[in-house]
Amino acid sequence: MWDTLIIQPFTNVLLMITMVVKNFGVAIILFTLLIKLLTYPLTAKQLKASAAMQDLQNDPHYKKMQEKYKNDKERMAQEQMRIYKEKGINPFGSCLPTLIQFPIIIGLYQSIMKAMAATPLELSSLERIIYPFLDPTKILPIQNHFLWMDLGQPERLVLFGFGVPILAIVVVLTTFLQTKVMTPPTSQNDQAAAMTKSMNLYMPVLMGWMAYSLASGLALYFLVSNLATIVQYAAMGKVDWSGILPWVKPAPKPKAPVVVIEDDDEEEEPVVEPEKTVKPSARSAAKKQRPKMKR
Amino acid sequence: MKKTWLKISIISILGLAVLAGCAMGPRAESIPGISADGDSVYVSYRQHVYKLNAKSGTESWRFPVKASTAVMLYAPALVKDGKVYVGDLANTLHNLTADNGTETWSSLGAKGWYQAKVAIDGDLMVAPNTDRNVYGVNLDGSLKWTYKGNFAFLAEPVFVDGKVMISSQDHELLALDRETGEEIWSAPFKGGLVAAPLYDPTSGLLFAGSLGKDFLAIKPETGEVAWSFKDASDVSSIWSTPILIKDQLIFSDEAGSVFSVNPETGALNWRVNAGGDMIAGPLALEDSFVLATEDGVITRYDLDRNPIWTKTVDGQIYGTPVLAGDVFLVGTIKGANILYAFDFKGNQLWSFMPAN
Repeated sequence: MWDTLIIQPFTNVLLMITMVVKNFGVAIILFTLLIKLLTYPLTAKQLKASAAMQDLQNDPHYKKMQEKYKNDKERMAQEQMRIYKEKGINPFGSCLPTLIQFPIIIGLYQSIMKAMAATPLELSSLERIIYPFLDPTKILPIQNHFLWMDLGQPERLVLFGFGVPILAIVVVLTTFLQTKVMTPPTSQNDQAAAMTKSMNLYMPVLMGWMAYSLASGLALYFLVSNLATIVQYAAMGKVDWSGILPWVKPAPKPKAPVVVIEDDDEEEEPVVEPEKTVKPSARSAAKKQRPKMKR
Repeated sequence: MKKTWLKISIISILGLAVLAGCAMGPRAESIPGISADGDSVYVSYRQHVYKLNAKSGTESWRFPVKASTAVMLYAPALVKDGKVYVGDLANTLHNLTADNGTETWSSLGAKGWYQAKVAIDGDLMVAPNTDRNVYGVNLDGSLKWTYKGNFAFLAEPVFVDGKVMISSQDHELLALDRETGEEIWSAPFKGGLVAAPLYDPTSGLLFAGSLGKDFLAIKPETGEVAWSFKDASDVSSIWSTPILIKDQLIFSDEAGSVFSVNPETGALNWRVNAGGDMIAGPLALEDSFVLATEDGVITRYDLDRNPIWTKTVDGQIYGTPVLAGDVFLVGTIKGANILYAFDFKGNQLWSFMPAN
């Protein structure tokens, strides 16, 4: 099922691109960009949902609600769901597109692995998933040589007698860059933020290790994927350049929507006004003008 | 938001860990590399080369003694004058003492994998590599010459009259000068060649088939085509080396078709279907031959293509069976064992699965 729906079509598209451009390295680059392009709507949706969630979490009133119900998890969950519903936020809106993309990313990875058949057994396995309208004798074997790399082997550029893993180094840098520009600023004392920060350090190391030890065709995919992601985020205006370029001032935070929490003690009804800006000092004045909402 | 990013990071890390776990070390799936020398059997599989007794299947030694995830071996070993020559997927050629498996020397010159059996003629060893090179190596491990090709070399070389014949995935059979490694001629095929050619001293011809579904007889002096097999239009990809038994040249294709042809003319004697897909080639066995299909069915046929007996093993067969004296061996993957030994009557003598 997985092979038929994901691996086989992916691999055949990759092989078709290879037939056209006559170069497997270029085919990996084009195929990765094609997949990135196709999954762009999901990425955009994910970013939009993430931004809405971030705005909400920066809202002081929302934080106040969390503080107020910190000992009543059930109530807090109810309040959160109510606010999500009223503001039209899907709490899984940022995770779901990622989860949907995940099989595609794994499929892309596996199809590249499949196409880089290096043993007769792997060649036979590859030959059998080629669609009938493609002629395997015109496709196989695949030319694995690209620039200075053998795409089926870990990459090393021999400089002054030393094999330098240029691609792995570039993958580390671009992964670091990607995580930095994608990760929004967070409060430093927060445990989750600390974990995210440490993940952002582990990811480049892990990716770098994989690029160092695996076939360079995969390292090339990692590199192109990183660069494409950064460009996608930049095109959507979501890149936080201040995270990596110290001379760039952080972008002003978007004005968070006002979240009015329900307060049983004061018999205050919950109100959400997405268009209003956060002005704690003006909150009481604003409250007087708002219509009350029944739960 | 922070939690969202945390979730994404955790999912990504887990996913990458899964991918990494699947692929660290030399990335390859292959079949056991089997060879025999007298009453000894050598099996290259994953992290070791095993020396086994052909009669009993008992393990004499394994190399390396301690497994390393960085070393994988699938190439069949060559045994010559008490030495074992075998290449690994960490780009290294090993020279071992056949008696005890201790390493005499290793050669690190290649950039790719050794998947094919090396060949030795006199003081020259020829080692094909996936780094698109064929290496001519002296028997002390020093490099004599290098032939640079366009694709990975996967098949064992054959020596004919001072030339090294080597199958190339670049849709050609190559003849290299034994002394210099320079190309003497190349014979074009319709597809890549992944199996060694067969040389017949009687007819003076080389025989080889390709993934392009053609089967040719080549003159080793010039590389000219003596004849091409045309008596069947439905030949599929050819993954294995043909055999010669009593003036019958027998070759098989991926669809399980087996053809017997006249080695002088290429005229079809008969054809038979083995009943399943077949990457493995035929094995000559006295006045008969053995076929092994991918689904684990082993059948012995007489030279009139009548089945003599059929056995089934647990596992998939992708490698040509190997003869070891009065025993023949079948390597399998995805089964209970990696090796089965049979006598010529089809009785299973022993099986082998490496102990940890």
